Amino acid sequence: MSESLWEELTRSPLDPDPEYESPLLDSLIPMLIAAIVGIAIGFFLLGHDADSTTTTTEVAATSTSRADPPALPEPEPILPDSYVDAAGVGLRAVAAYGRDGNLYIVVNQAARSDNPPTELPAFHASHWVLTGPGEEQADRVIESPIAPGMRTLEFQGLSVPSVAEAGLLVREATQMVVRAGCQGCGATAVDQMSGETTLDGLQRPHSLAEPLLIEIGSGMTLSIDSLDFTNEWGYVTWHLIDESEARLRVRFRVVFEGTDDPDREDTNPTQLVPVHLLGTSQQNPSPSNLQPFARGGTQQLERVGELITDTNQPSALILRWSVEWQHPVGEPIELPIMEEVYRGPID
Amino acid sequence: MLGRVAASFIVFVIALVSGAALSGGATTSEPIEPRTANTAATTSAAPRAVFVSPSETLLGPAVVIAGEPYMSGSQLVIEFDLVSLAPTGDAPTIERQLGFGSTRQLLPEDLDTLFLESWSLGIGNERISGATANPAARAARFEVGDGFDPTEIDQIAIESFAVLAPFSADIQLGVGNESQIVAPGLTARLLAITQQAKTIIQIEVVSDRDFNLDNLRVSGIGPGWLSAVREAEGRPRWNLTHESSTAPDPILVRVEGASWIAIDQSIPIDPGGER
Repeated sequence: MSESLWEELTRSPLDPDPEYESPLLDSLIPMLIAAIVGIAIGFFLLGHDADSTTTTTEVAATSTSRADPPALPEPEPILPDSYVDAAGVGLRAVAAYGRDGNLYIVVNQAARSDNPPTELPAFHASHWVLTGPGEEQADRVIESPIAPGMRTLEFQGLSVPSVAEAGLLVREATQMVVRAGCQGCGATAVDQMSGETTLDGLQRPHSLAEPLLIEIGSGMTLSIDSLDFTNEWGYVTWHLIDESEARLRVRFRVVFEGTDDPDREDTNPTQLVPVHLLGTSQQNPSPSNLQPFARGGTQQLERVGELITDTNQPSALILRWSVEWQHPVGEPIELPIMEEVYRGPID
Repeated sequence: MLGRVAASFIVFVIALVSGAALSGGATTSEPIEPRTANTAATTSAAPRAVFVSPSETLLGPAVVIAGEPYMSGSQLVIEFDLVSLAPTGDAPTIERQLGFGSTRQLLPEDLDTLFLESWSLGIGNERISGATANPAARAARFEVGDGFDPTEIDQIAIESFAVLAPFSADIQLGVGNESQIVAPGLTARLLAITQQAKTIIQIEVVSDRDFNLDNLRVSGIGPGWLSAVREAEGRPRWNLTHESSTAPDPILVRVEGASWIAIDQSIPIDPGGER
């Protein structure tokens, strides 16, 4: 048997086939395997370590941006330029003019950027004090429902200042009213009381013989100085007696008791109610101004309900009143008045 | 055989270093910038006229968002929106009488409280004036002529605007004192006194702007006054009835509502906002 035949018979199946044996391939395969394994180990071991060490310099922003979108920080609440923050509402004096010997300053309210305007109650101020050479408190604060966010302050007997050294000191009010039709409004704290008294006699025209004094608590007395009325109209003057800085919003109503004429379809009893509560009508297309808080004032009354006739007469005359009041709270807020807002007398 | 093992080892070491370099390089060569940095920088600085975004301009009680100008015939038109900033969370809904018994409910935030009265276009040294028709309009119009190219505009500005301010004026009228100013741009005039069983006093309010007259009420002050009635067809005349056969002297009248107060201030506008 030849040696080549013997080798052929005893060759293991695992031995390389002599016909396909290649020295180059024999040397490349181990190196290729070593390269793949080396890259893999290097990437997963050293690379992974590098990843964890480098992210420590990048804080959580890098890792959280991959998993969850990073929560953006709340932007700084901002107010329009030149507005002063008053409990989340910006205030700014935008115009001032004189008329009939009085000074009027128009103040605008604008919601801070973190407050949706339609959900934010207006800033309710109790005191508006004009500073400068002296200090004068606004006699009236005029509000209209058709100009939300705007307030016109009336300073009686003052002229338009010639220099822009004046400013305003604003005190927030304790009183906040939940108005009808304002469901879900946040304002709830209301100081109020109501009552009634039966007037002497049934005569009309009717006049109070002397001022009617009503204790309304907290050391305050409402003085109804005069009350004059007929079957169609009424007129009331009043003022507040107290030692505090409270201001009142009052409503008077004269009820003609027992005036339900059964012969008429409209069986509402006769009342004299404040004109400003009557709302719009074909004759008065615009709503009234809001009744201001004050330390005194007047009120016009007008009839609603049944006509008073010979067969429809009252059995009693009742005066009803309701009072809301407010006090200044907190520190005064300084509100500058820019020189450019002054425009001098308009009359 | 030994040579093959040595060569493979060298390749392994080189590959190990390369793999580590690839892995480490991906995380360290370009650190990811936290996204919050720019946001904080832009929101912490309070802008002067811009309130929320560069295309918004604050004027008094509202934000102006102006669109891109475009041509309509011989006019250049800039449409805009006004977003009220007035806090209206506790403000009442307004009922408007439209005449003939019809009414309209208005939300307080939908009321017109800012009037962009006059505008200007800047083209080099040239200025072209424009105007908005009334407070309810939401477009400013400029007569520029056919063939005008809006891209030539260098600057757009509001030159004057007006804010709606409440007022309440208690005035005295009578013979020799027939008229009084009640608010900027508004004058009340005594037109006629008709003395009969009850006295009818006719008062007219004149305005420098027609739309000022929509927001008024007139009533008498003191004892004896019955209903005040505004004349039909929207004329700004009120008939006040006093129960006596002679007119009170003096005649005390309250005129109240809101009037437009003009503010002259040039405000550049950045058009192109989302409206």
